[in-house]
Amino acid sequence: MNDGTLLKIEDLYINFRTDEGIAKVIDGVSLDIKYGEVLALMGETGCGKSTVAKSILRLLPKNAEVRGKILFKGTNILDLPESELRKIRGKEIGMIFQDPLTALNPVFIVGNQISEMFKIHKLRIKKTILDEVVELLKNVRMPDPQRRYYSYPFELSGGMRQRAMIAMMLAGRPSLLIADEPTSALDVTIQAQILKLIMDLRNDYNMSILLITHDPGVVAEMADRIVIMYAGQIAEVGPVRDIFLNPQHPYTKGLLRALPLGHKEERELENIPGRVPNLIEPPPGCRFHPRCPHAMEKCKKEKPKPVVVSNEHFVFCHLLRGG
Amino acid sequence: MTEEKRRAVGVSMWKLTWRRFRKNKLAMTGLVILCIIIAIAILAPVIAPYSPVEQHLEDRLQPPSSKYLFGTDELGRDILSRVLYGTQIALRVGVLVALISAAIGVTLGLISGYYGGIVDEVLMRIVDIVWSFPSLILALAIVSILGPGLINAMVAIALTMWASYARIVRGETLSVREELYIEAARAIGESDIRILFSYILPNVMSSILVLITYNIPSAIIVAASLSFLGLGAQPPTPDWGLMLSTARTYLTIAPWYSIFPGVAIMITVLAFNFIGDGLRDAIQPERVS
Repeated sequence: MNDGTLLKIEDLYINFRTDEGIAKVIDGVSLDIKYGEVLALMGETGCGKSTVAKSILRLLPKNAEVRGKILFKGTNILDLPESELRKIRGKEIGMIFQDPLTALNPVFIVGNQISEMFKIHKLRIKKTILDEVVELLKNVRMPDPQRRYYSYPFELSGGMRQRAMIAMMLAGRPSLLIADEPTSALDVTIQAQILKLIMDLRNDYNMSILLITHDPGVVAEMADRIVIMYAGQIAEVGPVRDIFLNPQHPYTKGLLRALPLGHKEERELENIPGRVPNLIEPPPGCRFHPRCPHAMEKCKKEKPKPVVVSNEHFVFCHLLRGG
Repeated sequence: MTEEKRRAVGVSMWKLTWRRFRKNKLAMTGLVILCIIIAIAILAPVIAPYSPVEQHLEDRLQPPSSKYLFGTDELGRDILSRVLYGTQIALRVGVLVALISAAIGVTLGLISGYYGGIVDEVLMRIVDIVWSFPSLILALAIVSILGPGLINAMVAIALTMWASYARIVRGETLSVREELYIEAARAIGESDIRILFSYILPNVMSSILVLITYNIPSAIIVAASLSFLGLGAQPPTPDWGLMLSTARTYLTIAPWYSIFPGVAIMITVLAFNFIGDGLRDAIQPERVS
């Protein structure tokens, strides 16, 4: 099966049963991550990017209904029994979260939490577990790793907590790291350090990374390819350069125009008129059509199919079908 | 944050709690009294002037004197010795009942809060039923089924008191289970059992501890009440409730007989309540922040 694809998501549909009705949060998402690749999943808050990430490890709450396939190294994760799934979680696929303070257990010292990984997955320990953990803390460039082993999460700064979290994920040497807004809760200066760290570790540990973010700056710096999501549908997929320099989808164009580019040119920031739709009764067809300046009759009826722009660059829009 | 300030918070939650607890005078008084009570319980055989069951039939119902500091009862037994030995029983009953009911209630509360759904619904309705009875009445009913005796009384009391643990732990579990570190624990492959006992339990431990310190004195009172009603400790056990029960007959001619065991119960219960209040206040600010 080895065609260089590590993770392949096919026709993923996710509904949430809520008191107000069924929210159709993910509407037919397909994507793939190659070995060693950094794929960014980008979109505004509520577009479903975190939901996709969580569905990979089956971390969604009980009221979620998931359909489709999530193939990891050829096995469908959605079909795995609980015991097999637990072997993948943390060992094969690691995940780091937006808020590293609340992602660490407040009542235990950092060292114990990282050692937990060795116990769960029965990892090989060369010397003592303390040495292994300190080694990991060194790898994530934690200052004073010996002492930090004994620190409680609340004694660490945001950046140090995220380093501890990353160290924990490295223990299992995962082939895929899911980073859910890894730097959004951090100071700008720390953000750059953590991003650099993640990129360095990707090379050292040979990981693929699924990066969830709403920050195009982060994407530009890290990702190989981008998936742009809007309201549970994919709008555009492509290599970073193509997306940034030659955006095709009206939503991607709007999103990039809404960015403060600072040094490039002085111009007024634009916004995309309208609001993110209610996902309990989403707009039919292309979900972006109520806000799209170029919407046609067809957009209200038919879900767009991917149109090839260039190698690896696809756009889901009816506008480009004709031209 | 300055290095100095960081060092100040660089201690575990328990140390912080202790620091705040120590400033609370009432709580510290309670703790000192409790230490004395524990010492008395351990040293009772050494410090008691007589055996608690030794009868001096020639000295029946004697008022306090230099020979019998607290006086004697209707069989001429030394009340001081009986009160001192009674400490052992009271503490044993209080602590064991609290631990048994905590074990039952905490387990059910964790399961109820974590799994939710039909399990939660059924367990919480049982809790509602248990809670709707005054604990003494329910304990009375259970003892009358099991038969009188101190052990049966303890089981009965534990069966009435677990409900408050279950309800509080369930509530806390509901909020803790939504925390990101629980999701993170699942994301690294922890099993449900490990998540319940290694992640959720330690995070709800402080409320459980406060509840235990409140639970011990109520268990002592209910046990004493059962003994008073003849369903708990049986003669000649030097149980405070049992002593009060017999003393009632002689209330007018030998008031000291009721006063000393009564005061012993009061002091013990107060000490635990002071500690409970202090502990609650010391833990609360940590939970709010």
